[in-house]
Amino acid sequence: MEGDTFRRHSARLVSLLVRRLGPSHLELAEDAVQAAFLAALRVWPSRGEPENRAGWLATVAWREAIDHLRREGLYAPEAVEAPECGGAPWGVFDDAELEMLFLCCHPTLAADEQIALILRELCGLGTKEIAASLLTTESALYQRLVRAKRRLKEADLALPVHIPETRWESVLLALYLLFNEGYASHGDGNLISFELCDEAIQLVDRLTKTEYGDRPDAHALCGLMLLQSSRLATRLDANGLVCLLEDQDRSKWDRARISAGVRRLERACSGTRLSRYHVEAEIALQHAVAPNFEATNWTAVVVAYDDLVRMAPGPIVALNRAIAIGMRSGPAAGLSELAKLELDSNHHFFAARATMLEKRGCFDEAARDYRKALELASTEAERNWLRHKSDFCLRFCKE
Amino acid sequence: MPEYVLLIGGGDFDGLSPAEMEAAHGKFMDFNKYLRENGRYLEGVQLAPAGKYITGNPPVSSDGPFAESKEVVGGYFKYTAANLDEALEIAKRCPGTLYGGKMELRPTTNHGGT
Repeated sequence: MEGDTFRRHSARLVSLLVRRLGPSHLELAEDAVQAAFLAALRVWPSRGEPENRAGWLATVAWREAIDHLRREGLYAPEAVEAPECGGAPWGVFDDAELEMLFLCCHPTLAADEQIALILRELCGLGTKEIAASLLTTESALYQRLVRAKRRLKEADLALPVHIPETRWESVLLALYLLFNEGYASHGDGNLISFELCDEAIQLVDRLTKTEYGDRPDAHALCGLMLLQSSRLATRLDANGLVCLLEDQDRSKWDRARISAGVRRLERACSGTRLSRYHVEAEIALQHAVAPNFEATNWTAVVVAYDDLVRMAPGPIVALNRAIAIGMRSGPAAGLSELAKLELDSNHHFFAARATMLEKRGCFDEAARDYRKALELASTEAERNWLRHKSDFCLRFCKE
Repeated sequence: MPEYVLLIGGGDFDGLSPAEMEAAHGKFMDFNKYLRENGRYLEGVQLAPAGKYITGNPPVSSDGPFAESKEVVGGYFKYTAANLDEALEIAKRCPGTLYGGKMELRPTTNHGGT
């Protein structure tokens, strides 16, 4: 059954327990859920799996939590029922996982702590998996989580009814980062993790269905995610090489997702505020509707990047704008835009410059830049592609 | 056919992620299934983590064993095999050595073993 994985059960149960026990008991919730899984490992193989795995796990986790509270002499409400049977929200959402999302985006936490906590609590990933994803060591990641949980214990966790705009920004940004983790998962192994993308989409979708979450920027973010994830099946080719946008087989793009994305963008068109998600969605939309890479409306894409550079400035946005200018006006224009940037530790920069140099026929310089990118690339799939391109250019140099 | 008992214990699943635990669980279920589908399965018993130690004459009990002990038996499988070599091949399919676990394979004295 879809969603019947231990990972999903972990996310759901930790959220339900935190709702029931209160957000100051996050660690207790985690421990109780872990104990429930260990019990399942001990009992299910010989006794047989229960028909309702979720219910069995919830019952055991709940019992573990209550036993712990009693042992500690802490007041435990007459809570003999499992958390599925209700529980007052401590915040403003009925949906326990959305409440958890807001908890993980508490302002006392730094952005890197928020994303680590979300991957742990809302995605049920382990420290090893998260560390690989976030390009850090397991022990550093473990410390980050310990710090985050400690900070939450010391903070005022009440969520005001009028949720501050800054919190909304954090939440939407966290979901955007979560989606990006799935889209281009940095851990060595898969470049793509479809499941994380879909989980991010589902969270935004559920958010927009709440009274407070029905806002244009959330709809725009959802539309953006739907449009981008429509391309996931074509991101890697048959040999496991990264397949760039220009080479992807557009017939394999998920048209149903694209339609869903477009419909979602229509709902994002209300209100007066344009968010960065609106602008990024516009770019994704231009790609989605173009019959091929060359025929993309690059003028519109550059205009959108001009907006994005103002709204969400940063080296990657500037880089992507330079690439779009190269497509609109030719590689010479692209190269002169790239020359204005300082990105010497980013492999995308060297890969982009290499591509433009290659188009101008400067094969030895292109090969040099592909090799530079290769040194800096972080996933096996990207490294394969860069090696392939570098070899290709070197062959032309020799001729 | 001769009978064999495979004792399993000491595997530490506590630090695993949900996905890793699910994978380990799947492997145990698969082993179970393998024994049953090949008509080898006699018994599969898993033990709860704590019970009692009993020693001395007259017998005296104390709480135990404790999960921290690496020598604790977590459970056993009893199955049939033509001979020890075959029983060993079957045992190697069992994920009991994952995450620091150990297994011990012994013939029973039923059906001719000594």
